[in-house]
Amino acid sequence: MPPPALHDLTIRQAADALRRRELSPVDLTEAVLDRVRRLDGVLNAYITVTEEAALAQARAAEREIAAGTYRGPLHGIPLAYKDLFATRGVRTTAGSRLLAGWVPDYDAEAVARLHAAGAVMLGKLNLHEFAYGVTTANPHYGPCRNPWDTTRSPGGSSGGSGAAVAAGLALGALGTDTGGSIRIPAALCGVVGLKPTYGRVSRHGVVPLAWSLDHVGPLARTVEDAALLLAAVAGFDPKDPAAADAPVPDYAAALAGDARGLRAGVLGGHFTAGADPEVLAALAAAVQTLEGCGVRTDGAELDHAGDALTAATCIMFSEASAYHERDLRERPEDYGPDVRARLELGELYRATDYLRAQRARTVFVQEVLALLDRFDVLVAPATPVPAPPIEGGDPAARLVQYTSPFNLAGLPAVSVPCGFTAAGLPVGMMLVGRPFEEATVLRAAAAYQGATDWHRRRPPL
Amino acid sequence: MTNDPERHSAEAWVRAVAEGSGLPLDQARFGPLAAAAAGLLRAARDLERLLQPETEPAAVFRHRPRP
Repeated sequence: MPPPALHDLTIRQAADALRRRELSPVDLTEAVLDRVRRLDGVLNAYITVTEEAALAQARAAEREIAAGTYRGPLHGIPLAYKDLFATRGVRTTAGSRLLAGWVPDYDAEAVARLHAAGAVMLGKLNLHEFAYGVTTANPHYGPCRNPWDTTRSPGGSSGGSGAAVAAGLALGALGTDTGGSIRIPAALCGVVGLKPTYGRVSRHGVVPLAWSLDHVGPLARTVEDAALLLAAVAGFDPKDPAAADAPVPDYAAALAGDARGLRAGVLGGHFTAGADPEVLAALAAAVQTLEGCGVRTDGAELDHAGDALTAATCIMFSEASAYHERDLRERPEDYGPDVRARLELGELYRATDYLRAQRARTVFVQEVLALLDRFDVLVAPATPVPAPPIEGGDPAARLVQYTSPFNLAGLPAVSVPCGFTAAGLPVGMMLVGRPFEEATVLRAAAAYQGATDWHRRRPPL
Repeated sequence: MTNDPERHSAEAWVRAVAEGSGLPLDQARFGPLAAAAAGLLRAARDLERLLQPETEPAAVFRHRPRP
C-alpha cells in the first residue's frame, strides 16, 4: 500500500515523522495549504486562511525541532480553528456581519495552549452565524459544503471544522458545542468530534452562544488524534468562571487499555425516535462490534430526555438573547434571518421559564447520573439522519435531538464514524460518559475504531 | 388574532414584549414569531410537572479556591 498523502496523515502519524525529522513541518504545512487552495473554493470551510503566518510558524517549528527542542505531538501540526475563537492579530468574525471587522489583540485560551504546544494555525473556519444553528449555511460568508456530497450540509455549527478535517484541509480542528455543534458536523462529515465535560476546556476568548451550555472541544480523524488535542487544551483556567479545577489525565495513554468489561447502555426511546433506518442499522452493527471488543451492552432509557431537550432549548434561547440583546435592537438587519428569528424567540421566555428549565436540568442530571451508576458509557446515534441537503428546510430540531440533552447534563460525549448510508453519507455513533471521564469515553471509542475502518475512508474529492 | 386561546395568548405576549422592550418587530415578522412562540412557551411551562418544591436550579456560578 502506498504511503498516505501528507494531507491524509493523522496527527499521530505526522507527529512521529516530525519527531524523527523524516518530515518537515514546512512541507507538511505547504501540502495542506495546497489542498486548501485546490478544494476550498468548493467546500468553503475557511473564512480566513493565514497562509503566510502558517508558513512562518512551520519554519519556526522546523528550526526548533532541528535544534532538538521538540515540544510534543502537536509541534509542527497544521490545525485550524472555528472562527469563534479569538486569535491575536487575525480577524475573528463569529461567522457574523456584526464582528466582520474584529481583530482581537489576544488569543483564546485554547488557541494559546495549542500555540504553546507548537501547533501551526492555518486559518479560521466557517461556522453557522454566531454558532446559532446547525447547517453552516452562512449568509455572510457563504455556505460550507459537505465533502462527501457538496450539495449537502456539513452540519454545524462547527461545519467548517468538520468539513476541513474530513477533506484534509487541516489535520485537526477546534470547535464549540452548545447543543451538538461539534458532534453533529463530526457525524455528518465522517470524523471524530469530542465534547468534553462542561468546564474541562476553557472558553475564555470564545464568543459565547449560551454560557451554561457552551463547550470547547476537538475534531480530528481518529480518536487518538482527538485525545492528543484534548490533552493540549484541557485544564483549569482562572479566566473562565466555569473552568473546573480537576486533574487532567494522560488521555493518549488511556487509549492503550482495552475496552473489555466496560458496560455500555444502548439508549432507546428518545434516542431512536425518528431515526433514519440506515442510521439505526449502522448503530446496531456498531453495538455488535463493541460487544466484539468485550464491551457488555444492555438496553437503557432516559425518560426525561425529551424534557431535557425542551429545557436546553429554553436555556440556550434565553442566554443567547441576553448576550445579543443590545445588537438585536441597534443592528437587527445585520443578523441572518434564522439567527434573528431565534434571538427574537429567546426574548419571549420569562425569568420564571428560564429558572424552571434550570430546575428541570437538575432532574435530568440526576436521572442520567443514576443511569451512569449502572453503565460506564451510554450509546446512541449522534444524529437521527445523515447530512441534509443545503437547499431545504431548517433541520435544527431534528439534528440536535440526541446531542442536546448531554449539553444540558454537561457530560463528555464523542461522535465516531460508524458507517455509511447507501448514498455514501457518513453516520456517527455517540458515546457518553460520566463527568470528567473523557478517558473512558475515548477508550471505548478507540477500541471501536481499532475494530473498524470507517475512519480511514476519504471523501471523493 | 385567532380563536385559539393559546395562540391568542402567544400573540398578545409577543406584542407586549416587543412594545415593552423595544424589540424591533414589523408586521411581517410578527405572525411567524407568534406561531413559533406558542409551542415553545407551552413546552417550557409543561416542565413544571417534573419538579418538586425543593428542586433547585442547576448551579452555574461557583466559588473556587485560588489555583
